[in-house]
Amino acid sequence: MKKVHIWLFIISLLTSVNWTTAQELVQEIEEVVVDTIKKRGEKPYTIRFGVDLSKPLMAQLDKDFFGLELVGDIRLFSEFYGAIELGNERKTQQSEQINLTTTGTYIKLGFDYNMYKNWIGMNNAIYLGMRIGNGFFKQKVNEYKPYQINHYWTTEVVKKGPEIREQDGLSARWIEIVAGIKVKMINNLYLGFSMRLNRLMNDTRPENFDNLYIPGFNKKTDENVWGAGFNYTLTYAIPVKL
Amino acid sequence: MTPRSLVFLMLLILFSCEKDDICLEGSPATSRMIVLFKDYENPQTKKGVTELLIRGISLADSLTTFTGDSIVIPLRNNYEFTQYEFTLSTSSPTLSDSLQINHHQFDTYINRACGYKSTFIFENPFFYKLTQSEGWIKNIEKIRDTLSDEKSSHLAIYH
Repeated sequence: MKKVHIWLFIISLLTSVNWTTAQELVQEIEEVVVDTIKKRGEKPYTIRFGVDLSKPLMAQLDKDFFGLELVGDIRLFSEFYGAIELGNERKTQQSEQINLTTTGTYIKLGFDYNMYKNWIGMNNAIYLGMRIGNGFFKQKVNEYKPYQINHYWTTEVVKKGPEIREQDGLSARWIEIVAGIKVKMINNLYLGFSMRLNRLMNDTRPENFDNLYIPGFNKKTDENVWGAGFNYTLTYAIPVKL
Repeated sequence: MTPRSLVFLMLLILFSCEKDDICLEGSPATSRMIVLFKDYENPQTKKGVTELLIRGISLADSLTTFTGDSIVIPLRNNYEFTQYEFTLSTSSPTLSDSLQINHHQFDTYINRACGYKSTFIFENPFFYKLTQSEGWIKNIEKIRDTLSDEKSSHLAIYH
């Protein structure tokens, strides 16, 4: 039932995109007929790059977290943008019975499709997109409390032993569906916000443990392969006239 | 569908429902030790105890006062032994035996909510008798080395 809803959601996303494209196509054809050369001249190939503001902020509030994400996009053709996110995270957390530290990097590559009709010269965006994410990380179990039904003896927290260890060489691959906005603040500075629905494709699991957190993908649950994320970006745009 | 409603829908989906991580009852947990009481004169037959007071040494509260022929006793995790005092209050004079069960453990990952469970394995020797005087326990025998489940007995006490 849950899967059905998720697919309905994705399909509805796709149909809405198609609907917009069709409408735009008509408008674009009209525009092309009117003035091709002028439009081309005023829409440069913009490169935008910047950082995710939310991660340094969270790192300030939570001493057990460090994160940095560099973002960039480039307009390829019409309203399609190539997009990239590069990130590094270190997160220590108490997940129910287990305290663990995850450290790793990720790269997300994909495209955005801008649905916002800009005035000439402007470059704001309301967009939908997709990414393929790859994470490379390691997980360390710091301590844990074994699960016991009976509490006659106090359950001791295990702080050393064969399971208290770091396992590296872990990786994960996932797909993201992105929805977001980018708004011009001053000059060439843009503020952006995006939300992501992630679907895990595969991950290498540590021995006798699981990937409870994947940098870039965020929390991994036992029940399903879905995850979520967001970012808050500050980007600088360089117009490139080709 | 307008872009704004799309963003709203996305928000709803992302932040609406997330299941709590609760370790459900019936999930595999750390197995306890199952002790069977048997007849010393006739080792094939079970022989129940009546009003046997079981108390962990160093603990103030007793585990239980037990009547029957088989009981589940928890072991102490992250220690190499567990000490119990078994007092048969119906006998006169009151007979008491203290035992130390020697064990080590390995831990297995179950899932996010439950974390790890421990599996105890008896050491060799698997017990020490801590009381010098004659008690009610005549002999102790181990039936299974690894406490991987609670389906059958791990230890037999002859009396």
